Amino acid sequence: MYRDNNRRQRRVLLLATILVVLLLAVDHLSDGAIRTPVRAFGSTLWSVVHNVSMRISGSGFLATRAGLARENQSLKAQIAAMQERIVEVGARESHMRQIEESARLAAAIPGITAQIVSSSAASPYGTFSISAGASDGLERGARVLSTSGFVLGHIVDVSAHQSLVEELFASGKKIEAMIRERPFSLAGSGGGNATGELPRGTPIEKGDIVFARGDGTHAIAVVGHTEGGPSSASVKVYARTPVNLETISLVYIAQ
Amino acid sequence: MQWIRAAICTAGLLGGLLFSPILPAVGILLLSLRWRAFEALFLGVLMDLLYLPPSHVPLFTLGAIATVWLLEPIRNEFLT
Repeated sequence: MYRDNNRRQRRVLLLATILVVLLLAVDHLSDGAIRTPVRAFGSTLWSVVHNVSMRISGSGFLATRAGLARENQSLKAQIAAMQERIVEVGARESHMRQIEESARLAAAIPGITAQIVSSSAASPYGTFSISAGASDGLERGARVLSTSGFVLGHIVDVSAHQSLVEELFASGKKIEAMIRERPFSLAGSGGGNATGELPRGTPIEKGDIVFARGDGTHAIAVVGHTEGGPSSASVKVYARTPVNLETISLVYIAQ
Repeated sequence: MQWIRAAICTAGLLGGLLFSPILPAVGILLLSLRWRAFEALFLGVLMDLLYLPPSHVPLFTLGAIATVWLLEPIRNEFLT
């Protein structure tokens, strides 16, 4: 009976393994029939949790709980209501600023604005989802910019109402870049960071803007740090995107 | 013990959706160490369905399958 139980469990595990492989195969062959609803569910859940956590952290509830407890009991409800209103206004102001920046960008480049609907930090592949898809005219390969005009990545997968964006500096990606009109290669290391090398003596400074080769209009990174003394043959450049994907809610997709 | 198994699976699921890929990876490892956990496989495939770009190798799924099956001799030896 004990051996039967073991055998049964192993059989279940084997069936689960086959099912999982089949799921991936069906998804690949159907070009997203399974991943599309899974991503939609994930985005909905992420959006709900993200909104709730923004309100809680912005209200200062956890930070000032001890202070509120000491204050007058009759003012507690009024203060909580006012803090909630301030957070709501603050969130809307931040959102409006991003929309204004996006509008300025739209005046120069045709495209659309979309919301980020997943956590880029949670992705092991340097990807995140946005709330626009084929129904909005998006296609694979479209450039995704921050509302301030920095290139964040490219669309790699499109469904009807959502798209998957791969970050420019996803781990393992190589990007051909230019800095002060000098070409070089950047290797992405995830989290918006990348490294590259330039010949010794190249005049590079912290804060220099990096562009993608062939596109001198939209910056992709800024130099954060350089390494290399007189004895080394090259200068190591550490570049990063100045945009923190975890804090922005809108992106602009150039069409 | 089943509630621990469910808690690890839930933590891995929520971690993969909201926080960091390390959480589902640790969840897969812990589940595989103690149980013949089919949910570890589903955690792996879920991460790939959520985040995998096209034409990339489904590392999380393959990693989950490898972890679950490679730990089978250890489970047999020490836990049964």
